[in-house]
Parts: sequence; C-alpha cells; structure tokens
Amino acid sequence: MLKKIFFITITALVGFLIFMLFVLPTTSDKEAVVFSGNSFAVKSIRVFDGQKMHDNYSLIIKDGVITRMGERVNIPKGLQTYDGANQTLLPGLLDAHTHIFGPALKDSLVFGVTTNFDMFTRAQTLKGMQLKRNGILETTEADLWSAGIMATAPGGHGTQYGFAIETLTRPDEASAWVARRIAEGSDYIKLGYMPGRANLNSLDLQTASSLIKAGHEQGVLVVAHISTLAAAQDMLDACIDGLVHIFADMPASEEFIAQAAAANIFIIPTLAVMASVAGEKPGGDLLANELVTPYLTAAQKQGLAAGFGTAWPDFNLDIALENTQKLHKAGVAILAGSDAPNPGTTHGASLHQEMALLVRAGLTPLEALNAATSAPALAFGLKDRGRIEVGTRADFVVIGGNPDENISLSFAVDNIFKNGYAVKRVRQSISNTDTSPRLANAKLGHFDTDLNPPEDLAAQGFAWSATDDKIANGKSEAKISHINLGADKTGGALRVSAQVRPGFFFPWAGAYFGHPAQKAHNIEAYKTLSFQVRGTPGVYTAMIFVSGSAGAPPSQNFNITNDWQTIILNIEDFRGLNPKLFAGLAITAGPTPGVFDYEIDTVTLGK
Amino acid sequence: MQTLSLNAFFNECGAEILKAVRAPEYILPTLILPVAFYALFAFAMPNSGTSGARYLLATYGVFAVMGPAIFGFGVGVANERDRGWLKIKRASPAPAISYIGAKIMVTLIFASLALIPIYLLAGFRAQIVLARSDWFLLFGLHMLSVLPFILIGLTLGFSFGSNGAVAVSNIVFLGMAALGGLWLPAFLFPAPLQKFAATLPSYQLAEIALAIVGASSQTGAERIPLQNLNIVAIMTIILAGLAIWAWRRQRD
Repeated sequence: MLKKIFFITITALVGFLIFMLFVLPTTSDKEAVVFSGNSFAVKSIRVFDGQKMHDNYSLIIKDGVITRMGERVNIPKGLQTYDGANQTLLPGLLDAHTHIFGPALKDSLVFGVTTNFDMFTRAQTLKGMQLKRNGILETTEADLWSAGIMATAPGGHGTQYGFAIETLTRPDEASAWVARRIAEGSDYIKLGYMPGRANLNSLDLQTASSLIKAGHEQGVLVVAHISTLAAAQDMLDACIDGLVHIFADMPASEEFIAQAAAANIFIIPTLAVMASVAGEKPGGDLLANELVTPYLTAAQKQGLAAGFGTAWPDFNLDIALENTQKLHKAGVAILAGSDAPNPGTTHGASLHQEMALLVRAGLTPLEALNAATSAPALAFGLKDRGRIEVGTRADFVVIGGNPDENISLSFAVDNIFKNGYAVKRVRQSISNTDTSPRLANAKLGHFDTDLNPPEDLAAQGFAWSATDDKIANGKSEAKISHINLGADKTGGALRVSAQVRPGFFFPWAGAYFGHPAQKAHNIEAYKTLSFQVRGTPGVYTAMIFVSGSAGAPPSQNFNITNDWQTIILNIEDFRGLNPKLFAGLAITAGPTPGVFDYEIDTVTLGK
Repeated sequence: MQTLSLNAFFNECGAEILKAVRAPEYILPTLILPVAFYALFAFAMPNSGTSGARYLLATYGVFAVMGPAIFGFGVGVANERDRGWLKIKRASPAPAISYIGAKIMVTLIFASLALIPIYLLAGFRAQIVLARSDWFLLFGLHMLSVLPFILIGLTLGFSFGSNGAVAVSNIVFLGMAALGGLWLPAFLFPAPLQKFAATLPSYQLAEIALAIVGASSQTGAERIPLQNLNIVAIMTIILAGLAIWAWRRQRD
C-alpha cells in the first residue's frame, strides 16, 4: 500500500516535470527574443566614438558594458549579433541643459538622449536618480544629473514657477545653501545672475561669487544662467565653471574670449530655445519633420507649437550664433543643451535640433556630435558614458546614414540601446480624430437659472465645475456658485471664489467646463471663444484641454476689471491646440498668487 | 537482503508522503511561500520587468528547495528523535540508509513541487525564454541544491530537540535566503555583507543558476560557474562531515 502511494506519486510527478520542461518557452520558439538581455555583438558599423568616425567597426557588449571593439573583433558563436551595415552608432546623447518634469526622462530616451543634465527642478525629482544611473538595469528612462533648485534672489528668475524655493540675499548664506543642495542630492549648483533687469531681482555679485566659492570648497561644479556679456564677464571673473546659455546682447569681446578659453570653462549655448525666443519657431520645424512627429506625445506637440510671445530685451539670435562660433574657435568647450521643455522645445527631439543649430553657428557635424556626447561627459566628469570605448556603458543611438555628411540625418534614429537593452520606440497612436463628435451647442453656459450647460451639451456629458491645482498637488482652491444677477441682467452668472497659492509650478484656480472622461469633441467649426466677465482686477488665464493630453494646456491671458466686459479670444491663438480633440476649457486665476472673486457669463464659441 | 532494503525504502517513501498528505500544515508553507515571494518581487513590484523576473527565477529556485530540505530534516528528524522513533528504527531490521534515503527522496519530491509553480510563472507569465537544454540544466541545478541544505537540516535535527530545531531551522533558513542574495540581489548589499554572502552555499548555488539563465552581473565581473560549483562541492563535503559527526554524537 505505502509502496503503491510512492510509485504513483513519483510517476505522476516525474511525468509532469518532463512535460513542463518541454513546454516552457525556449529560444527557438520566438523570433522576438533577439536582443533579449543586454549582451550582444554589433558588426560592420560606422562608429562615432565621441571624437572621430571609424568605419566598419565591431563591438561586443556584455552585461550592458562594451568589452571589446575595433576593426577585427571575433564575435563568439551564438552571441546575438546586430548587423550595422550603412548605419552609424553614436554614444547615447547627453542633453546638457534640461528641466525634468512629468515624463521628460521617458520622452528623452525615445530620441536617443540617454542622459539629462537638469538645470533646475524640484528637489524631490532627485530622489533615487543616483541609484538608478549607477545601475545597469533595463529601463525606459534616461539617466539624470541635476542641479536641484537654482540659486536666486527673492523675486528673481526661478521664483516665478509657483513653488517656493529657498532664495538667498547675502554672501554669508552661500555656504550653508550649497550644503543643503548637496544634501538634497544636487550634483552641481546652478545660479541665476541677471543684474540690472528692470522687473526681475537677481543675486548680487558678492552673493553669486560666494556661491561659486562655496561650491568649489564643497567639491561641486557651479554653473550660471546669464543673458548679457557683462554678466558673463562677472561670472568668468568669479571663477564660474560653465555658462548655461550664450549671451545674445552683444558680440563677445576679444578679452572675454581669451579669458574664457584660458579659464577652461564650458558654455551651453541652448540655441534651440534662443531660436524660439527669436520667433523662428524651431518647434514648428520638428512638428513638420516626419522622422520626429510619430514619436511625439500630444503634450510634446503642444509644447513645440508654443512660443514665448513677448520680445526680450537685449536679444539677437545672430549675435548668439556668432558668439557661439567665436568661443568655439577659441577652444572653449561647447555643450549641446536644449533647455526643454521651454516653449518651442521638447525633451529628446530638440537636442537633435540643437546639434543642427550648432552646425549653423559654424561647428562641423562631428564637432556638434561631440558637443552632445563626449564634451558634456568630460565637462561634468562622467567616465562611463559619452564615448564609445571598452568599459563604457552600452548607451547607443543607431542612425540610418552618416550624420557626418549631414547633421540632420541624426533624426533618422533606427535603434536605441540603454544599458545594453534595446529600447522600444513606441509610435504614438494617431487618434482617430475625424470620428470625434461635434460639440452639440456653441453656447457653453448662460447661467440664467443654474450652472448647467444647455441640455444637449449636458447630454453629451459636459458640466461646469470648480478646478484648481490640488489635482497636481498644489495648494490653490476654487469654489463656484450661481448668482442671480448676471451681465445681461436677465439671468444669472457663474461666480468663482479663487485662492491662488504657491505650491505648483503654474498655480491656478477657477471654473472648468468639460467632459468628465475627457472624451474628444470637434470644435473645428468655431473661430472664437467669448465670454463676459468682471471681478478682482488682474491677469487671468483661459485654457483649452484636449483629450488624452497630460501636459500644460494651450492658454491665453486676459485682463479682468470691476466692470462687465466681453472677452473674445481667437481659437487659433491657443497655440498647439488640436480642435478635433476638444475636451474642455477653464477660465482661471493664476499663476500670480492672491484672492480672486470673479463672475462669468455667456460663454460662447463663435464662428 | 537487497530486496528487503529496497522494499523498506519504498515503504518508507510512501509513509513519508502519506504523512505529508495527512498533516499538510507542515509542508504547505514551504511550498507556497517561495512562489508567493517570487510573484511579489518579480511582478508586483514596479520596474521589475523581464530582466528582474529572469534574475529572480534563478535565486528563488534555490530559495524554493531550501524550505523542504531544512525543515523536512531539521524539524522532522528532531521530532522523531524526541519521540524515540529513531531508537525504534535502529532496533528494526530496516537499515538506517532506507530511513535517510526515503527522507531525501521525499524532500526531492517536495522541492520539485515548490519549483513547479515558479517555473510556470516565469515561463508563461514573465515570458522568460531559455534554451531547452538550459531549462533542464536549471531544473537539475535547483534539485541538486537540495543536497547541502539536507545536510544542514540533518545536522540541526541531530543536534537540537524538536523545539530548538524549529527555532534554529528558521534562523538558518531565513539567514541563508536573505544574506545569500536569494530575495534581493547580493550586489545591492554593502561590501562587507557581500563578502559574507560568498561564504553561504545559497549564494554560491544562486550564482550558478544566474549563470545558467544568463542574468547580467551588476558588478561587471564575469561569472565563472565552475568555480562556484567547486566551492559548493567543498561546502557539501564539510557539511556531510558535520552531519556524520552530529549523528554519531546523538547516538552516544
């Protein structure tokens, strides 16, 4: 009996085990397992090593690190091999000037930017970045180095984004300020030095100099945001390590150039954002590039379509290009940085554009590639990336064609490897925009008896509600209510009581008309958005939301006074808006903090 | 004599199985815990991905066989010794080898039962792909991993009373798993702890398994599985000596 139990058990078990081991998925079952893991070989490919091009190279990558490379490399049998004929392998690109918010690190990697040098973000963004960039694990995100929050004066550049940052005013505060940033995880210090600007405070020279000294004493680089030659000269005299923009107010003087070269500083010209300020609409070029658009998210497209809107004082793009070229000729290290996500730029794609702009400034294509690979790695002291050589990590961008012949070929990204793992470039699904239903009524709200929109709109699911930045962890607050006396005296209006408080980048509080599920509706037929409004005088914002977008919505500003007035905004001036995907709109106070009470009536779309 | 001892062995095996079926509360935790942990760490954690599941398949396979081996022997033998069952066994005509042999066989059965769900999850849920020969090799290695832990269990069983054995087995079991890098990769440990991990058979076996699945080595150093195998062999010989010593000691 006991014997039987044993025999039955053992037979059943062994039978099942053999069955299982024969049905578990194996290498031969699947084509797609090529490039599983992060060990492989690349053969017969053109390699840009960070400095020079090499034809017909082969590489062996083991566990995400290059272990062998050269013209004659024996590829072991059975090792998965990537055939690189007619392609160019570049080091994963390094963007020397970005700001990391939302999915920025993901967006970067989709265009082969494997490392970001952030120049101002919230301190909590820095959490865990060091662990991640030291590992060689599979990831969908670029690695991050960051300045954390920037050094600035109360009311200076950097304080306008709506979240409180620690400012400083006196030189003796510098050392402790730097120590706190390093404790938060900042890899280097960025300070804003913009003296003499009418409506913007700035650190004074003594405080800025003390910050530089404190940074050096505590073992980190210090870089500066400047916008004029005079400010750049001050920073150079104070032993700055790098400038994160080129100045565009006047041509660089001979003395400045010679001194910058002798001091061995680096400059990140950020020509893409300069071109955007100059009104060249660099984002429009990217949106028109069919190698780029399939991989952009809706939020990225919005950012690229946006512009700065206002002309800047002391600014000339030609001077920026010329200064870049002169400093480069004199031997000053030029690093490619996009300054994404400023209006007209985006993470990833804009760095390719920056390389093209550097070529326009007078760099050769190889020098531009160098500025986006080994130059930033050298400037920031990173040894494991930016170059293709034995021992560096397998961060690659594989380009179809030779960008040495034409830098714009860098957009033709065929493959991306991060830590040796192939990165899946996901084409953004083109939403079926033609099928979205038309908005049922152009009158979005008349508020005669209550806050409900007209019945046909309500039937489509639209409703009026309060909106504030609490959904983005901000601290602003909005309440809406119905009042009986509206602008037309015949019916009521919608009243908003808004408290805008710092806590989110762009704080807002106001009224929202929208579809709860953000379902897309077509408003192509309409040319204007108009409404009547009165309340606490100040600048307010109208925003339009589109379905499936998470980024900053396209918006326009307008003034409110104590008296009723009709505001008419052109729909096409909501830059980047896709009118086929309308999901809602908001009329809000912010980003300036304060208490705002205002009333809205007769919200209408016009033809 | 030969037939008699084989017969006794088969009967002992059957009896052990019956015992486990009748009192499942002993063996069930050791079967369920590994697969539950594997599911948690390989799937439920964010950013785990295929490479994580692959890595953990290797280490949790070793973890899975540790339970039946250490507890089956450590606690089982101590219990039976406490109740005088071992003395009766010695007086009976069935040779001691059939007693030990049956316990080993049943441990192998339960070890494979603990491995099956992990392999199924890895293959069909995490889509881990290995060459057919590597699946067999990995399974063989995981089954072989039972050996050093059986010897540890035996030593504990002969050295402690049933209450003591439960406590000490737990400590040894958890220590081997955690410090040997079976739960979380050893490369995440601080350097001194990494050195210590290398002295544990669980770590050495996991390294061989990791080499079979082709998991990346985070330190950049190349894995030399043959070297790990040698170390395991030496450890096993030492542990065998320890078990024999404990067996002699408890008899005297």
